[in-house]
Amino acid sequence: MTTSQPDNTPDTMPEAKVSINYEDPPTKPPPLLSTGVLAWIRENLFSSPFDAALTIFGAAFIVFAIVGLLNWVISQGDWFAITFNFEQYMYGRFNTTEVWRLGLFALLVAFTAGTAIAAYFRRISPVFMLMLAIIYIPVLLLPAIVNATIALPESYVVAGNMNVVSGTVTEDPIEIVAFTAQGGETVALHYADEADNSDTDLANIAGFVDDASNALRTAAINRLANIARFIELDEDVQIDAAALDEGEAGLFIPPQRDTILREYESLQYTPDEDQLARIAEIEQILADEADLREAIAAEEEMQAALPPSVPFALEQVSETDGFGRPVTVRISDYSQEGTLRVALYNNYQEVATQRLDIDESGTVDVTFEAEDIPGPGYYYVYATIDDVPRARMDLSFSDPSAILTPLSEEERAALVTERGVLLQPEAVIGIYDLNNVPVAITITDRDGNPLPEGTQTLEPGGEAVSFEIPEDGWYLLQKEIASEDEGVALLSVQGLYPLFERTTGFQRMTDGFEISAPIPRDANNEDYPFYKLTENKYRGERPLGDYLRVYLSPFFTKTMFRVGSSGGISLQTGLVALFIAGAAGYFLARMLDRNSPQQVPQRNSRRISTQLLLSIPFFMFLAVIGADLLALSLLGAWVAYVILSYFIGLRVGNVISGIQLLAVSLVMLVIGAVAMYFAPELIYGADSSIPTIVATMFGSAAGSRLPITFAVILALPGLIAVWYGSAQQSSLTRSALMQRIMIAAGVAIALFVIPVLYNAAVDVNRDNPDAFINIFVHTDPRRWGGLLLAAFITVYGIILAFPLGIALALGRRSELPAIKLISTLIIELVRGTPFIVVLFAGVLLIPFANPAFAEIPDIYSALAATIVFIAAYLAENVRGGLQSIPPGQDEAARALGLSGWQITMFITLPQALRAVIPALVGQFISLFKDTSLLAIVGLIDLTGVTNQVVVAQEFIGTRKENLLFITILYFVISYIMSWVSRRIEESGSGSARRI
Amino acid sequence: MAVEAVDTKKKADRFDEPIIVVEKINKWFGDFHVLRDVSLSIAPQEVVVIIGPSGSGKSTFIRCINRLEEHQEGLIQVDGIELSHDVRNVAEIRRETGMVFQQFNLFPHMTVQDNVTLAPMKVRHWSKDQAEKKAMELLNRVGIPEQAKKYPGQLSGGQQQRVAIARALAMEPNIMLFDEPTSALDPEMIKEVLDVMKELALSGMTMIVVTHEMGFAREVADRIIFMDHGRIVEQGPPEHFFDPNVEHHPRTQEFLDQIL
Repeated sequence: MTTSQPDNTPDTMPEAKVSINYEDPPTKPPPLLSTGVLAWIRENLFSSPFDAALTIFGAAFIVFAIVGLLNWVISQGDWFAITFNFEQYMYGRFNTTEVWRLGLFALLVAFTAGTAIAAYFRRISPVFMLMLAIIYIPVLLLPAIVNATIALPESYVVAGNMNVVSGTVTEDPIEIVAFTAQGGETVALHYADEADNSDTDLANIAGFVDDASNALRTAAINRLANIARFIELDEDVQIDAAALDEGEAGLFIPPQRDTILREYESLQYTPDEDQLARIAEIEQILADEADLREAIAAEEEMQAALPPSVPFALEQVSETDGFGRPVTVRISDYSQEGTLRVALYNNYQEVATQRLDIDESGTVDVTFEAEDIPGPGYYYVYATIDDVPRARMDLSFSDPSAILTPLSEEERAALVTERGVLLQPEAVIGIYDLNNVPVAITITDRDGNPLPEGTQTLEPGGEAVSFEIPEDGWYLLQKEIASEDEGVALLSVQGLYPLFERTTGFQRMTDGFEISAPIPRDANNEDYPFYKLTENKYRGERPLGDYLRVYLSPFFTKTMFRVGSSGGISLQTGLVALFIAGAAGYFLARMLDRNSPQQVPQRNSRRISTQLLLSIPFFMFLAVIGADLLALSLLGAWVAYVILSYFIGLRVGNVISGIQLLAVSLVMLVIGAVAMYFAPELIYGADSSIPTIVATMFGSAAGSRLPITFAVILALPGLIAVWYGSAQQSSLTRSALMQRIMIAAGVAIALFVIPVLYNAAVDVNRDNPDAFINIFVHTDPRRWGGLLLAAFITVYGIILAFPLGIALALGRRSELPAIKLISTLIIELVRGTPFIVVLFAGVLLIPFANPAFAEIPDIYSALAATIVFIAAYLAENVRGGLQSIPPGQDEAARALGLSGWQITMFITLPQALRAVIPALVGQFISLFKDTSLLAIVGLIDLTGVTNQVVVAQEFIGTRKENLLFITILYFVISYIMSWVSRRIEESGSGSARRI
Repeated sequence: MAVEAVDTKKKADRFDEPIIVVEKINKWFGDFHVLRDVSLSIAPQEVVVIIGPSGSGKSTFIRCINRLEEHQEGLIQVDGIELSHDVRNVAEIRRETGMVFQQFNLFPHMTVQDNVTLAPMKVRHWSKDQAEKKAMELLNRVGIPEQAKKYPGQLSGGQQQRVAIARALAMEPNIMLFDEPTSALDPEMIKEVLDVMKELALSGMTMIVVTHEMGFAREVADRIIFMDHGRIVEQGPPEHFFDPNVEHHPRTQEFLDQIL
């Protein structure tokens, strides 16, 4: 509705147009295509032809890559390497009696994650539920379903009374082999019918094989490969020889020719007479065929040379026709110059030719004799002038059906292959007379007593034999050829599974069934060979079912984490336990939130979640280092002492100034040093030369020095607290310089003290298992590895780098040139150096600083290097954050009378840190990934475990599998972290202004 | 502190003992001479409004008084303390002077209450209870007690500036410096801030206000100072400035013509 009117009176001033809109259009939903999935697809995937092309190309590439990878994973990868080293991947060689600490810690982390989800999500999103389902449903259901529906694949063993030779390898079929089995299982054996028809079948068997059957299989594969190679070479060699005969360059470059010919000859064997005859026959056929091809080519050439219209008449005039009789053809109307010839052909072959003179009339008769036309065939005549074909005519009696055709490609290839095969050794199945000999099979218990089934004989073409296993334990499988003839039988066995030797006993690869009893021994008191299959690998292309049954299902259900010397839990149980812990955390936090105030409905859950989160490093310390309850109470007492010191400082502040207190401490230290020098035995005991004392301080000698070292270390923070407390009470503002020096001293002391403290602890722990310090340290850092090590370095790297990084950032902004210079130097030096170099410096140079430091475990040197490295980057981030704070903040704080130190602590630093949270999380993630470099300085992190696994004899050649596994592990963990960091950014924690 | 409201008529007998003395101060930013021989003395409870075109050195001048800027020549004495390089003197003076900025400069990571209580607790070493009691009293005084638990980002500009005033008052200063307190505000919020400032002036606070609010100057100021090019060009009571019949310095006249 508008009330405006066009102004159409030209001589008045234009009125201002007034418009009031009283109309209120109803709100409508948007058009269908502009929302939802379709709109998304249209806008994002196919918005332009170029985008559409990119989308299709990208999708094709992804499908291509995934299909290829999956194919390899399912049909070829050897995943036992992962399953059997999973424990090592998780925590290295952590003492099995202490693994429960890590388990508890993992549960705590899951619990914390549960509370965090409750605290930061109003409700759980369907996507999250879906992800959980995708992870947990396979873990819970898949093993059960797979085990129930898919039988374990058969394995192959050889019985025989002759050696199996493959290349340079000679395998003697083992007569008696030890295996483990569970009561109630059935062991069934039969001839491997699928393999004994031809070498091709033998080469294609897929499953687990023992050494002898692997040799059989390899022999077959090699023979087939040799034949293929020989045939390939044969062709080229012949072409080359033919070319050389004709004086041409040949197919091969001269130096190459010798090599090829040598290989060619090495692939040939001497055939017997029959084979030679057949070879000659084949060669004849091939030679004839070559001639025929040549003749056909010549005929085609002649036909092509014929003129479009014949310049004279050519006809058959003989009365008689048919084979074995002469034939006459007549040329008439001839008026050409040149030499005329008439030639008779049979099947591309010229059989007779006559040179002619033409009389006046231009007519001549040519007669071919009877002997030129012996029998049925395809006869035709060419007339040529000066050897150029001018006319062609089929003779009336010739038989087109008799025309020869060259061999088809397939026929030729078959002949070539046949010849190649004839020049090769005999088929493997023939050499060993495979599966044509009877086998006597007995299964006995470990003492040699046969099972009730007794000895059963497997006859060619006969029934399979089977045995019932009475109880869990070791059994012996005995298999002998029951005949005088030499021969080998390839047996397919159901119920026998590859065994893997571990420190705790023998484990079946396929289901983790473990027996700790030793292997049975024979009469000579030697171990029987156990059922160990060649490199524990599944040979051949694997179907999906076998993959699921052999690799995937055991991955979840096998005992992965052993607790103590026996027993343990599977990955499945572990994941379920983590889920329960997470759910418990979630519901507890939700319960607590019922008491949260209305305005902040998630206050309680956030509190508990944050507290748990902050305590994780502490619990990690307890879990990994292994401190126990007594240590905890001592730690508590120490913290109480420091706090108490602070309050004492507050009280005495009016009486003693901080400076005086520091002076007193220094005097005490000097007195202590003097006492140590002149009467060291009072402190250290009898052996108290100065070098010993120094060594003692740094922990390189065993002795009774701990009390004083600890006393000094533990007392110092108390003194500092007293000083700080007194400073608080004093109404004077301490100059910023003094405070900075104090903090720097604190940091320096901490950095200096921690290795000394730890070193002392470890030292004693090693020498004296009953020492008091053992309540702090149970575990040996040299045994930490895998994910645990990566997590340890990441968490402590960041936490300890934090104060150092902030100190460096503040130092770089300091107005004091010395501090600024040192900070800048450290930051720039570290940032200008690759992490790996810093790591090497830490691990290799720290021991040189003091011989005593050589005793510090590499993990701590690496951690120290990591801290310095991270701190330098963190410092730059924090400095960036500090610079982003508007100068008004500083001015306002100064105007309020806050000191420089207070401004930093309460105003600028908190805001700067908030601003750099996303960058910090990014650094956290990248540090986690960078821990892979620890392997290079000799630590066994995830990459280090891979390096160790792939050189172990059982797992040689599994580098791809191991690398793929750690890639997935790194990715999943990094992705979770980056997801969390995205949530943090979305929650606005990164911005200083909280809304 | 909480000085009782003083009758405006009694102001006359307060001009003898100056609380701020500025003598011939000079300041340079690099080669640029920002303040040239500025001298001024301000009596207790006096309200001085400084006006002048931008770049005239008004802000720099009041920032010199609490040492946010350092003057290179001359003498500044606040409440009997001379501003020198002695850190303790600076701290002392800053405790005596509160300052309110054009951009509020509240601490965005703290609640309103924490903004107000921080300085008294850290600088004056008050207990938390004492500081919070004072904070609530001041927030009541500036009219926003209900916003105590909010963050600055959740408040309007006018409310933020009132918090900034409360924050400055929490240190119980004798002098308040206002550096264009309303310039960054939307027009409808200017009044609420000026009302608080008026109330403060009436309560007897010594105030130096850099502002363009001529209405405020006319109503509240005891003295108006016109600065241009780093010097005091003209000063006098509001009646002097707002009387069209009085003869002014040509620069003053030009400036007044532009803003009135």
